[in-house]
Amino acid sequence: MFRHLYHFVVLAHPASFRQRFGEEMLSIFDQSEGKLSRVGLLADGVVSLLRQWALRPDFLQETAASTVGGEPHFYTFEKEKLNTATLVYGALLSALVLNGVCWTMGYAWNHPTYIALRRPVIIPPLAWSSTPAGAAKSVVMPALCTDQGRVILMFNAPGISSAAVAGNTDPKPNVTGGSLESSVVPCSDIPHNRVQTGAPVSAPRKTSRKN
Amino acid sequence: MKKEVSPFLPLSPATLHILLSLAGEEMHGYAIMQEVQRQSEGKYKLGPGTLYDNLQKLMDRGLVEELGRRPEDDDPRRRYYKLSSLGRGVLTAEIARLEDVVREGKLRLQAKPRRA
Repeated sequence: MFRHLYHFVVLAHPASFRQRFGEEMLSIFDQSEGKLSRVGLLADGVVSLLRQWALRPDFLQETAASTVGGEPHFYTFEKEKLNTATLVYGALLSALVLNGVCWTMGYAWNHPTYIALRRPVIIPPLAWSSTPAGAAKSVVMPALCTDQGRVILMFNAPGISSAAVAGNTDPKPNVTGGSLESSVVPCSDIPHNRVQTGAPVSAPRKTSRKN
Repeated sequence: MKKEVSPFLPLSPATLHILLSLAGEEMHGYAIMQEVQRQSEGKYKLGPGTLYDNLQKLMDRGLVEELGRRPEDDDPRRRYYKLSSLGRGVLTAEIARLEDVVREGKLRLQAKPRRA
């Protein structure tokens, strides 16, 4: 890992320095032994990198040869100092690319593509709709009742209207109405002996105070 | 025409150690590092970055030259350097300057302090 890091640090040096001493720096690193020594060489390479770029401005004016042994070669970091025309060209190219990306995003926003989705059709098995033989057919309606400030949702409750009629001579009107407010009734209106299992309804607590 | 050596003086410690190392024989970079460490008895360690930065400056000023040939059985990545005649003259002048400094220092330290 240190070797790769050091190689990267050497590659990041100015081209003239790298071409002149890069291979020999790597050779020295390969000859070093011990982790501590390699860490020291890596730190020295980083300091050298900063020194070359910050304190050696003469390297910025240098342009390396475009040919090696008569053969053209291409490097990414070959030209250290970019001239004005290259900077202007790069700025123009960057602006064009950014403009294209923004235009594409805006077009996609204003021209959405809708994909038709089929509504799922759920057909319950026939066994669900059949009533076991001998079982009384009853409609289970959830109901809300209040108990000491709490609102209790009751399942498997008998019909509120019928329960109210059976346990109370003065049934509340609209207890089986559609709206939530109209279906909330006090628990005292529901006879507990008619409440089926499964409803966590407790009897009203009797509180006694010791005086 | 002999070049004036005074503009190069005084030398920095790194430059002085590098020129001293190359005064004996031609060396590659790693050998220079080891020689500098040996000269200073381990008190002065020269990293490759500092070494080659100084070598670059010394070669640009003509104090050190790079050798084109190298031993056949050596690492091909190594480069050998030698002291140029100008570099030898600069090193000689620097040693003479340091001798003057040492002599003056010894005289002042050996002399009895005057009472006010």
